[in-house]
Amino acid sequence: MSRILLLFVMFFVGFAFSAIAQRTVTGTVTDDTGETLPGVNVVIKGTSTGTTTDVNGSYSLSVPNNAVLVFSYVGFENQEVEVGARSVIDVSLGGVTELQEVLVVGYGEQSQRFSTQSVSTVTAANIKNLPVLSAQEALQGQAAGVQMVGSSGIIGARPTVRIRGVASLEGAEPLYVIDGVPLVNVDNSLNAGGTEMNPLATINPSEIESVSVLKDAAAVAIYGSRGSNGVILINTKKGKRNQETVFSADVFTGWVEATQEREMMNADQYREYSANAYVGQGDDPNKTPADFRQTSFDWPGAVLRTGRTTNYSLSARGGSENTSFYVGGTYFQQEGFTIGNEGDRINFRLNMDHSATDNLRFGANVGITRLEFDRLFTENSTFAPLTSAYLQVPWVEPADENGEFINTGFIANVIGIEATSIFLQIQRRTTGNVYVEWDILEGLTAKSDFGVDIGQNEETQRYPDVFSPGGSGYKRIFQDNKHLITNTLRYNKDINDDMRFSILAGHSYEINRNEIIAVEGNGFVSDQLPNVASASTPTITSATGNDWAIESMFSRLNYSFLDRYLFEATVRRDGSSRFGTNNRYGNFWAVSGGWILSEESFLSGIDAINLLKLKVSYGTSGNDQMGGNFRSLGLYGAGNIPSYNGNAGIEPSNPSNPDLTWEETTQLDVTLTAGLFDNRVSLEASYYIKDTDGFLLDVPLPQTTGFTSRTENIGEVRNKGIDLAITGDIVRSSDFSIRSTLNLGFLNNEVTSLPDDNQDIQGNNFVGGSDSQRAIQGHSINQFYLINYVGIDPATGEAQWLDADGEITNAPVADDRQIQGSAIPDLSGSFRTEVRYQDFDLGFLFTFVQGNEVFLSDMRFSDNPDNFDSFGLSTRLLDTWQQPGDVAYAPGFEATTFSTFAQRSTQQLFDGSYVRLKNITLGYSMPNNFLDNTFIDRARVYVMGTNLWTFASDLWDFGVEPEVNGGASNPQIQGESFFAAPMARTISVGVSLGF
Amino acid sequence: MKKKFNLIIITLAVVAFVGCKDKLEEIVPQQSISDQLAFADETGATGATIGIYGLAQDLEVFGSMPAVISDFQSDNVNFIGSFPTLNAINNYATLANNASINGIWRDNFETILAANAVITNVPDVPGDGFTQAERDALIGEAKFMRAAVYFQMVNLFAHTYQIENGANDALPLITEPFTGEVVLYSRATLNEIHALIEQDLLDAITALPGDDLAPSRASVGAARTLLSRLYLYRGDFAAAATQASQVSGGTYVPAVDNGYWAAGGSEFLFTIVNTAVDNGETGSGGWNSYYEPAEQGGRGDCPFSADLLAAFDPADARLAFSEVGDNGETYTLKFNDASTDVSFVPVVRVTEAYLNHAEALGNTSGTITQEMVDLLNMSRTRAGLTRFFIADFATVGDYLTAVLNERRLELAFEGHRRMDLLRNGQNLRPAGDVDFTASAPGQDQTILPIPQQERDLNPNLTQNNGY
Repeated sequence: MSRILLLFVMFFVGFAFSAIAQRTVTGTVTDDTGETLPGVNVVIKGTSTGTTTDVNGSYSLSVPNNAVLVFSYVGFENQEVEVGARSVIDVSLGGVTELQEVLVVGYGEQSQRFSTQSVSTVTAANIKNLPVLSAQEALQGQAAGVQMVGSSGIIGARPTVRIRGVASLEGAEPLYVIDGVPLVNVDNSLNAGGTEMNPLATINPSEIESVSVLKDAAAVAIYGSRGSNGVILINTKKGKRNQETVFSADVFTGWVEATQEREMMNADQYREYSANAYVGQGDDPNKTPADFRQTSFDWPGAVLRTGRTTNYSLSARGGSENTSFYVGGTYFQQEGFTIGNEGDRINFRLNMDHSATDNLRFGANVGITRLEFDRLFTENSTFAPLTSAYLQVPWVEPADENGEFINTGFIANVIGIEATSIFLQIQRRTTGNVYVEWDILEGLTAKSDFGVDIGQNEETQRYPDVFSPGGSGYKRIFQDNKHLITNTLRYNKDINDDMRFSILAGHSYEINRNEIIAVEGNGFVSDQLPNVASASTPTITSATGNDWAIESMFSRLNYSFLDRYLFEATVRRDGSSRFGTNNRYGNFWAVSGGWILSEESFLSGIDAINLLKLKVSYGTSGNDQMGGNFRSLGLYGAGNIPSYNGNAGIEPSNPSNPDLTWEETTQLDVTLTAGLFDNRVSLEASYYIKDTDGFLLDVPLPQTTGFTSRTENIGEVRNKGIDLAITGDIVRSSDFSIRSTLNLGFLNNEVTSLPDDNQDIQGNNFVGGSDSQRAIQGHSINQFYLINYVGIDPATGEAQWLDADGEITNAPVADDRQIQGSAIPDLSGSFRTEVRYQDFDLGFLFTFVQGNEVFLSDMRFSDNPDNFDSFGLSTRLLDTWQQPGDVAYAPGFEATTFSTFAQRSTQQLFDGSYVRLKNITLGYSMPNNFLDNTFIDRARVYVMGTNLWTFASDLWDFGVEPEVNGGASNPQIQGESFFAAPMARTISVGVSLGF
Repeated sequence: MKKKFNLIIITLAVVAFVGCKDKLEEIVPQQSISDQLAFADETGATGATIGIYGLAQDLEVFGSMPAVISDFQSDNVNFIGSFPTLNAINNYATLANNASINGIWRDNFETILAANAVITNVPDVPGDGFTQAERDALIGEAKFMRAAVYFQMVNLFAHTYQIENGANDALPLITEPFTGEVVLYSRATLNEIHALIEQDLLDAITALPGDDLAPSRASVGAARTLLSRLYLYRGDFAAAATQASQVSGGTYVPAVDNGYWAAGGSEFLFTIVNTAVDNGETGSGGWNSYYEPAEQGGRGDCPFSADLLAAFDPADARLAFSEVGDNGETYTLKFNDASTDVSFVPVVRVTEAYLNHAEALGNTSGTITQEMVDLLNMSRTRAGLTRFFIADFATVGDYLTAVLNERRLELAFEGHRRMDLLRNGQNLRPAGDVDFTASAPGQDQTILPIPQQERDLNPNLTQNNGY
């Protein structure tokens, strides 16, 4: 408030001075990309006289002779300009690195320069040229140490985000916080296939002002029991005080195709192959292709299509003396590259803040979303479009001779289902907070913040008579209601010019309630009756509820000396309803220190060094993610499963573990930050060691206990690595600039301790995972464990594997499995370049990973010779061994290994490394003189392409996408695919207007 | 005005701090109760007993899968489904990591352990109004269920008594509930498991309240029939005859005509009742799903085998109790409600007691008696076929062949065929079948492997040969 008052005073004082000033200086202030900056403070040095730039970035100021103007703007380095004899002074505040920017941290903001936390920031400017469709995608390739993997190319699929490795097996998602409200980040959708729906799909990326990725202990400790997998703070766009209203409109539309398509046998090939198999395998020595159905249908061709994406955004932001606001709306329409995959999203947002008195402020940030998906099942389901299309026998047709759809059984007729059935998902979500802030004394501020995240996920399914005799209907409404109250006290005190001190203390209480109401009914008179109420037999009538809560106290202390020796300490105490009574409360802490070496006299003479900072942090944080809220309690469950014949029953549903507590991660971080050569080069390098102790796992129990698993704190895992970010202004001039950024994350993930009671044949402790991968002590948390496949013996046509002794075998057993590669990359990163030449801009983003493996579980079906006459088969099987000497892909028709060829082995394991041109954008901004006579202040047209080019291992030649993650958010199953839909290749065109 | 704002803030802060006191402790599950509460009173104990039946509805327990496997591993069903794990069993190419088998192991032991909890905890449930007789009845039901489930399991995972006189490894013998400490059980022998089943059934016969005819819950008649089946499987024919005679000669009356299936009724001694809102069907299978053709909403995986079709007299009403699917295959109508999944699960039927009795007498009697022929004719005449006479059988061996055939026809699709063949020394598949040799009694693939996952977790479990 006082700053705004001061500004006001400056205005008037400026007015007074102008009476005696000699002359007037005018000009325009822009950022380094040439965009005009409204609201920049322009002050005559040594006075309080000044002004601010208007909506067009222009200013006009009366100055005395020999004046020096100081231009200052949040997020940019101050610039001083001698007026001299000039009357027009245009200033570019570009050319600075992010080092001077304000950093959004937990429960506050810090100067990036003086912060001792490791935080990567992605700003709206970083993503404005990218076709970012979800909040997570905004992170891809933008920050070192942050790995984002798209799990599937279907729209609405949940991407996986990992910050500094994987430290958890039950849930390794970072904590997402939007404007101070921790988001519900659980997929509440029906389990309709392997791919999870993205719970953050409701968040509108075009409302994002900045995303802060909190990485080290100093940054995450203040989030205590939820911080150890990193915290992602999303701040939405706000207005600015004393700023004319600026409107922005953005429209883009894109065409979407799959990056990859598998080649499957056509009906003729399939008939011949099946006949050969019947004969070769001795099932029917007289079988010929003529014995099969003579029809044919191209299922993959009928399921794939070119989709469309269209986005319309309109927003306004501005502010008066006491109030500022941002209001925006977006309509986003998506149509994926397979049938049964479309949706739209409507967002509204209103953010405002207001100063009621000198020392009292309040405000609210509210976002409202409605998201609708018209969908089918996904991936690991024979009701998913692509899975079904690939597995469908190619002589099966979707309709009979009369054009009536037919029920194709286990491999569903997705074409018929898409045409006749309903599978609709509607999500409604309101996130927001209201707050009051009160300056009690000078430097002492109290804040009370009330936040909500209210979500509703309504799903409707209705199958007609042909696909479910009599017809069936289903409706489920999942309501999630979170609210939290956070109270904080902040105190800032500059003891003298050399010693600054600030302290934050707070308390928060967060409670989450969810309710699920589901009904199902069978038996409809007509397929035209959509609702369950019309069914003759209700088969599900269910209502359930679930609560959890977390109560916290936290504090942070900052101290700096001589603006170069920095110190910070953080502590948080959390109590959670999710843990055992023996371990309900936990304490977390961090200490960190920084040293700005470039302030020291021994470096101050070196012009090349603008900034050199070393910081070290050490501390703890936790992770509470696990399936279910009551895993510590011994429970008898009620409901449909134990009930019987109309009698209510109960069954043992959860074994007790009163000692259950959160995972605890201890992290050491050493970071060196440098700004060099007039800040043309900035560099940040971090080395970290994250040790996670007692990681949570739903540990499989021998089933002779009557339970399949029990949640325990079982092992230790270490993630260590280096995050490196280098940005260089290769060319920096007013009409030509090139800026490149290289982000690299090197990671080593190792399970350091596991219980001894679960050992493989090699004597290694292991837990969890899938049939293909597991966490193995001394190896990674996602280590593939498979039989070694050798190939087809050219002499006999038999498939060959290696047994435990490394000898060739035709009949491997489970004990022959060996440790293979890991699903976790050694290196992931990105290379981004932005080029500006006059009114043109060109940006491209490469992403890459190296050193991981991908397991294609689907090949056990599509490449299984024994699936002749039952499932669709890959054309690769046409390369079948025929005679001695053949070097073939598949075993001979008479081979005894014909039916075991496709068993789990390294045959389905591939190098997952890739380099991909994730995005390329070309834009053109209309010159100002062109727009002078219009109401439009700025206009930019652009064309962008996504996933246009990829270089990957031979799996790419197999028609398969390297960016897969069949296990979705399950950290135990990473890098596996069961007909995962490939990524989307998109070409879009768009226009952005400001007025 | 300032004071007003200050007051608001202070009020808000106080509400925030005070409002959440003790909330953490108040948050408890809404769909579950603690394991102490489960046995805190008679209602809880009764619910826990009902829960055993609820668990037994599962696809992998009495929800069809074990019975379906038994019928397609033998010569009754031509399995044409696409589920790879079931296909592997059908092709006698089962691997130890077969997920369906893991599911059978999991869900059957889950049911056994739920029964153990009732058997162990019910005596100590407080409450004077909870009488000893009521407690005995619940324990009797739990023991019956434990015996029935163990019996199903031991038939799948161990070779028959006839191979090694029951000295072979069978299953872990578990009679205690899980209390937190993981016990790595070894496999007990077939004789030891049979002894547990025998004792449980004998206890159930004593504890259950008389000849209760409600077929949805354990009954004395069902226990006796099951016990007679156990004795048959062990070749103890005298004991089998004793138990079976008390059913076939007692108050249990078979249905009078072949329409009994649709009506339920007295034919069923113990059936798992499935309703539209509570059944064991899942997306991957179930009685109706396996046995109904695709156009009726089933998977259509399990039509009659050619061999079974040929075994029926064309006049047999039980053959007529079938439908032909769009794919040309013949499907039984025993389970024909794939839209609401209501079906009678024939765990124990009266007619089985008659046939058990017939087979037991055939093995103990040197000659063919009228009683033996009458027992055999009961189901035969009901199916509209002409009755047998003593003179129709040259030897007792002929008679036993006829009994075995009658068991096949009458009990088709109910999971009996596999054990009937194996214990009689016959191959599961007919001569000429690709897997004829592999299906001989004692062959590795005639029984299921101990699940790989279970052995990974419990090294004390030995594996069956060949896996």
